[in-house]
Amino acid sequence: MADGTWITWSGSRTGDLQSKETAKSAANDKKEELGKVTYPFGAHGYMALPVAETLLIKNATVWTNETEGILQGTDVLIKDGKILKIGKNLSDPTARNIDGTGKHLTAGIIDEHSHIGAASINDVASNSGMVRIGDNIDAEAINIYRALAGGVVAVQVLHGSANPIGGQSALIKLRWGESPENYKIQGADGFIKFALGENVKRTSNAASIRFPQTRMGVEQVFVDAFTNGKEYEKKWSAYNSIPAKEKGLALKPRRDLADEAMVEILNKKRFISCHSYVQSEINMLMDVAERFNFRINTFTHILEGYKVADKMAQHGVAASTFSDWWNYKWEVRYAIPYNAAIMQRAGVLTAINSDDAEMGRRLNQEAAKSVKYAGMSEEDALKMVTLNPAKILHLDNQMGSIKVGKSADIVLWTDHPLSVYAKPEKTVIDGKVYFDLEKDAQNNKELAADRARIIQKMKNVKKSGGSVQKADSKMQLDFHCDDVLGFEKTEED
Amino acid sequence: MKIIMYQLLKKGRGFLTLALLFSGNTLAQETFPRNDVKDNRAGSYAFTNATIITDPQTTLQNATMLVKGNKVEQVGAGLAIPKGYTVIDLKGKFIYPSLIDMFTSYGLADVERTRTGRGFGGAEQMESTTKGAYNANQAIRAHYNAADEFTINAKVADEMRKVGIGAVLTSKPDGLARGTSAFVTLNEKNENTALLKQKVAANYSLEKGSSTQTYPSSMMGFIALLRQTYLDADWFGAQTPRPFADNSLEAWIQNQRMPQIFAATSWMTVLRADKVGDEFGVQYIIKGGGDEYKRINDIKATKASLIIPVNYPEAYDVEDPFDAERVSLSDMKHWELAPTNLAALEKNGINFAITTSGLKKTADFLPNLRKAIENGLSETAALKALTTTPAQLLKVEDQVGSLKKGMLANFIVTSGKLFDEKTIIHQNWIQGEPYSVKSLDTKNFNGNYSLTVNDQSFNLEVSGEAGSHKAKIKVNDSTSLDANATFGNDVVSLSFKPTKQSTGSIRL
Repeated sequence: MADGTWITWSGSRTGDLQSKETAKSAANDKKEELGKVTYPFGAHGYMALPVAETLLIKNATVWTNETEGILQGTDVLIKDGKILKIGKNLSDPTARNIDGTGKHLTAGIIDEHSHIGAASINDVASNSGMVRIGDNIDAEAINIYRALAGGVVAVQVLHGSANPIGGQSALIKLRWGESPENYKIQGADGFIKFALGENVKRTSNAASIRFPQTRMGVEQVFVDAFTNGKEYEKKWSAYNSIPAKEKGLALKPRRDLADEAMVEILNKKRFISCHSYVQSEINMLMDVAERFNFRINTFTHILEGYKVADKMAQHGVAASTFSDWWNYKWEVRYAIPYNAAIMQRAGVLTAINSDDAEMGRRLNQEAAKSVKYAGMSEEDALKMVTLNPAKILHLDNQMGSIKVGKSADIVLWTDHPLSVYAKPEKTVIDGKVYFDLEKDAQNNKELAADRARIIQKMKNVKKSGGSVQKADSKMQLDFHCDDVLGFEKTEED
Repeated sequence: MKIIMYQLLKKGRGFLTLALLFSGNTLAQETFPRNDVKDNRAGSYAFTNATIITDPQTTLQNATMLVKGNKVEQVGAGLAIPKGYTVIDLKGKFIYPSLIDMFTSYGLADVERTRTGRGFGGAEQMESTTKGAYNANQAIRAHYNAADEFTINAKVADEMRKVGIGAVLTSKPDGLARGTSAFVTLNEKNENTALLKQKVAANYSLEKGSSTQTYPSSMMGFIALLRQTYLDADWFGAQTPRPFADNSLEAWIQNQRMPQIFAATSWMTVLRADKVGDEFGVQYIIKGGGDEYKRINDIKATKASLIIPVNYPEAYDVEDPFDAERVSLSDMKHWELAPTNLAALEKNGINFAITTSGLKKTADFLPNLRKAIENGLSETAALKALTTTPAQLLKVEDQVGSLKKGMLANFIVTSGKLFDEKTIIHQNWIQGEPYSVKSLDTKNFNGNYSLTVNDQSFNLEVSGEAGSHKAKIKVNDSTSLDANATFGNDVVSLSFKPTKQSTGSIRL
């Protein structure tokens, strides 16, 4: 005892514990409500993936991007993922009719220069021709949906600009909810990122020791890479020409994936989109390409393009530029908002791009700026974000205009598509409605309810003494050209 | 001898060290020097009257298992017990093959990881700094062999044995090519016996690990380097003599004969890894992220066998609406659906093993597995994923994963069906030697008792799990006093304050 005395004691069992188990198992029997798997998993996910519909858009203003121009009060029938008919008073009993009165129908927006939908966008080798954006498509990147809501149907996901020779691009359609591989545009030509200027010579990093450190060195990286590529091809054709019988004795050359990309470029099977600002370097790269007997496909950014537009037209290179984004570093001081219009008038195939997830969802407005600044026609302005990028990316046989037989990659706008008031009411890819303004509101409501339900459940966990972790956001970051910080931001450790 | 053993067994904890003295030499190596004259004969045990789950499909009731040395000698009903065997009566108890975790880094030193992707700050490291004739890229560590580094880690072994694991694959989580892994048991005796098989599998990942070399610094760079290394190895291996020495490529070539295990972290990285394998005719066994249910059809289409963690996220503290706003819908949904993952894999006929990898506490393993079972995973599939499946994937099914003649005596003794909430793991036998987890005689004393101390009476309530009871003195329906109580086999000790106001305790 507490007072230090010893005592005798006894105890006897009087019965079982009152069972809490019965109550608990009864609760368990009532099957707990679980949320559904959505595609993608999370915000703006769909319960089921969109399917190709037969859609008849009635009485819309149709921007064809073809010689027909803008057609008033016109119907467009889409079926099996393709544009089937364009005309007046069309009907199809199997079609879902959509009233286009007061609305505008255009080809979907194509962004020539984007970094959305990838887990990483930059590697660091001076020649990174072996890395492929297509290896790390991020099918759940929220920016894909945001772009869809801005009328974008396809983008070129470009490697960044950390290196003179960057990685291989992925051309994707924004098939929100699909698996990574299904985003890719089958049969599309291969593209690759090149870059010039401050980023590649590491101007922003004084400690850098990577070659090249000067604009002169950048040229030598290209010359070296293409020279190696030619040697590489020679080595392989020599090996391939050995008769089958003797082949066993010969040493098969080593396959080098960076060299192979260079060979593809030399053989016009892979096409360069080159990040560029300064006229001297633009001239340099065209000159290097001509020495190796091929053409640069695209100068992207190309803020000094207006200075060399005639030479660009002569070389046959296209331009993909910003409307009026400039002065964010030394080498972009000479940008002017007339750039796109000047290049276009000089005969350069010109597009407006974003390089930025946020700008990428209002490219129609970016295109409109050339109307404001430079008096470009509205049709031509719209083409800069639809047909022209389709041509630049060699996709114009299937996309970029409203033409019978082309893929049904279209946008129905609530207003004039170059107006700041215009919103995509429907963004359609392959005849499937991937964004629908009305459904978006409905879906958001349902997902919010699901969220509220889970929040309640989590609160119950805390209430009943379960362990909880601190609320934290794992934000998906937007990538730009010069973001080397890559995969670790979106991949959990 | 028989009697001594049995009594020792009853004493639980103390038994371990003493038992090792008696059966000491079952795990000895003939080549080792001796410094005693003790009995060298292998320990022989007969476990009787047990429910024996010999493999996930087979349960023997009232059966006997004979163990001699480090092997199972015989399993069956009505076996005659040869002379000289220590008989352990396991009436009411269950025997399972001990579990296998094929994704651990048990017994290997931690890896210093570099932060990747810092390419725009500081000087780049263009070349590998690994000393010696190794690969041009520091992240290609195919030359590494876990067997060379492995040492027993008693603390970790104990944690894993407590949840029923008896053997693990151990791999160093360092590099894109991580070299070979070793298959080891969780005995605490010596590495010579714990290391069952060197170079069991070749391991890969999409993480750079300790490499300080600048390239590659991105997900796509990791994939590009792996792809190029496959090609380099082809070219290198085709030449005799080799064009130069590269221990890593040399090992890479040798390692291709083994099972190939790829560490992924999410359904998307599982697909990426599988795609790399497809390009080179390699079917990886892929360690997943536990979120495969999100894209079960794509996962199924990989045809890969998977290794799946059960490290479900904790609920978020969303009491405050501002905090709730910070949690993404996908994180919220994953919290809810993560325990459904294994059931989804089973339902879709996907072959999988289960790992403790990623758990904050190894002790959460069985409770989390139970959550998976509550969400539709069958107990048979769970057991298979922890025994025969990993054994087959690692090609060690002739040694572990089931209990039959000739297999290693790696088994656990439990109080009931392994995945039942109330079941206690009593012992985890590794290679014929017992490691006690909770004494075989652990009894459940739950109930209400009336206590008479001198002339005073108290109502005592005992609750909780066998082996870790809680006791309360009930004053009335709404008031009770906590008591400290321990229940041994034959001894009860109890102390409590007779009233709330008391400063002294009654100690019994």
